[in-house]
Amino acid sequence: MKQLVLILILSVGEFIWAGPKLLYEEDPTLLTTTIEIVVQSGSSEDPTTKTGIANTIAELMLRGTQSKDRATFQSTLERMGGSLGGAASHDTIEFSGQVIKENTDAFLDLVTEFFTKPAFNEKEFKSLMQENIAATQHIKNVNTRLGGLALRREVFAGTPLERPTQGTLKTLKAIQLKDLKERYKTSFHKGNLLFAVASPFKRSQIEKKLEAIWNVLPDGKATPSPLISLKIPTEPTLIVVNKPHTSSGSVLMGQGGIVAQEPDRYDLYLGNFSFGGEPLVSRLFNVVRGALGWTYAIGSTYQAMGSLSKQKGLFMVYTTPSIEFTTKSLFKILNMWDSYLEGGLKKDEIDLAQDSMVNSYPFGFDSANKRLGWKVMSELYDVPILSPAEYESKVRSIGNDELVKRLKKHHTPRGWIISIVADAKVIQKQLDEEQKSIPAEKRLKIAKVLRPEQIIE
Amino acid sequence: MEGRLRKLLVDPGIAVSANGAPSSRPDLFEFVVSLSEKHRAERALSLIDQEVARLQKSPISDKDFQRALNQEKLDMYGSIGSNSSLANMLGEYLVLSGDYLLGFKMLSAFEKLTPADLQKAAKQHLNKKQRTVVVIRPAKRGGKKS
Repeated sequence: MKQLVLILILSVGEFIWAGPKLLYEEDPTLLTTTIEIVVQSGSSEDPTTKTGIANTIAELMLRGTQSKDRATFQSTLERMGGSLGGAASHDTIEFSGQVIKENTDAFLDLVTEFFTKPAFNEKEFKSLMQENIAATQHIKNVNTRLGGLALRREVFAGTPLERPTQGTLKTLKAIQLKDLKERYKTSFHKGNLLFAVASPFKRSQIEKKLEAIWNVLPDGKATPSPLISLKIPTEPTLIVVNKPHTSSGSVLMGQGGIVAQEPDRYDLYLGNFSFGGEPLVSRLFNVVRGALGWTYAIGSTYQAMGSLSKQKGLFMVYTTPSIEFTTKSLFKILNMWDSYLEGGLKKDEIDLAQDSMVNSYPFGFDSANKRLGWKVMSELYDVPILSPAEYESKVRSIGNDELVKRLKKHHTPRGWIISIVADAKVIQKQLDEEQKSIPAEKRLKIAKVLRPEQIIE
Repeated sequence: MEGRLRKLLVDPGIAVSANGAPSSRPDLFEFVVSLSEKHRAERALSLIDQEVARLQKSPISDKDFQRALNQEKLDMYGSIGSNSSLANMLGEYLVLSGDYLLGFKMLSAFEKLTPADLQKAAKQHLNKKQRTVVVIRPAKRGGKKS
């Protein structure tokens, strides 16, 4: 009975509490205070002609307040031993910062100032846009990014996720300062806001400081980000980003992934551990790099678009082979995928994946910041945080028959969008050579050749 | 972060990133700059030279010194937040110096430094005679360097 009364009181306490939504990790041994402020509104809400608004807001808000210009704001922050960063994802604008513990109060005052009274200064806006345009042009030099963006263009064609969160040259040039101010007005409200703090101090002390932000923000209703369907082909679609004279190719292969709440995620993660997820022990690594020596980096992941979320992501296989082995690596991977999809894993591969996943799981909680990360993930995406015992029981219960069933439910043998960043003429020659014994109509063909400039335009 | 290199090179649009720090090879101090399109490495190098000369000529302000000190603290405190990173740091100093607490001792030693000490170090170590400059440029079509 005593227990029941206590539970009722706690429930009423949660219900009537109207202060900031705060996830908290108190750890008296910490030497720093860490804060994350999550605004649940990301680039998927940017107009398609102005992708980059959400990310630009995050960056511009850290370039001065109504009473401190950029130089004063930054030197105040840095002199107190603090740092702050801001960036957008497809569904959030996130600010994160850290300060040496003795200056926690002053730091939180500064956080309140930038968050509630950003300058949105015209000169800083122009300077930031110039930097971001230069950074976007720089993407041409990073083959893996080019390949990833080429994939994204296909999978999310015609949607807000078609372009990178940071925007492209055209969309960045279309953004005006008034767009940012408008978005700040519509998205920065109580309904969209989540605070997360790890600190050596008492929760009540931090909560009191955060109320300064909470109290001046308008009320609002949480607006879930739009969920976008992926365009996945039934047959492999090959896109080449043409980079003449490259000495290595960058190959990315994507098909539909999973959402954060996917119940089959434990099975799929276990399978991927031994297929390509874990360097040094995975099949892809051992065969394509280890035995054949065709490539340097190789792997596969369900987190190709960052952490899992409510938006279905991409499952991706990636590799950076020497140019002469580019299509050989591609066909080998396709071949290995077929055998994985059909037969799953061998017993020793499952045992290794289970042992490693179970034994490494607690390391995900060995610091206050990591525990805070789990709490944020759980809150944003309705994902339960399993205890090590619950996790072990879940992972140990997975057998190969279940794995194969789950693989077939979520994946297809041929539904790949493939991007290769390399010399298009060389790739064409290799495709001809590798497939000369196959009838022309069954060969993998280049569907599109893009220039690097087209990817970022 | 708003270090001098950033103000000098990134803010005016010359570079997309710029930083300077001791490298993982303990006998090297490295400046690394990624240039924006159409900007020349020589221009960036000349600006870095001017900035180094400024550091050698006059000591940094007390405010800048406090900033640097607290940023060092933040960096170290932040990097020992988990058991594995703490063990990593202790192990690294043990292997390099035989004293696993050297990292903390260095931090205490930083507090005893003055701007004049930094000026002296800049004069002693950041000189052109003992430096190597590496420039990586994109090849033009046909394989010729731009």
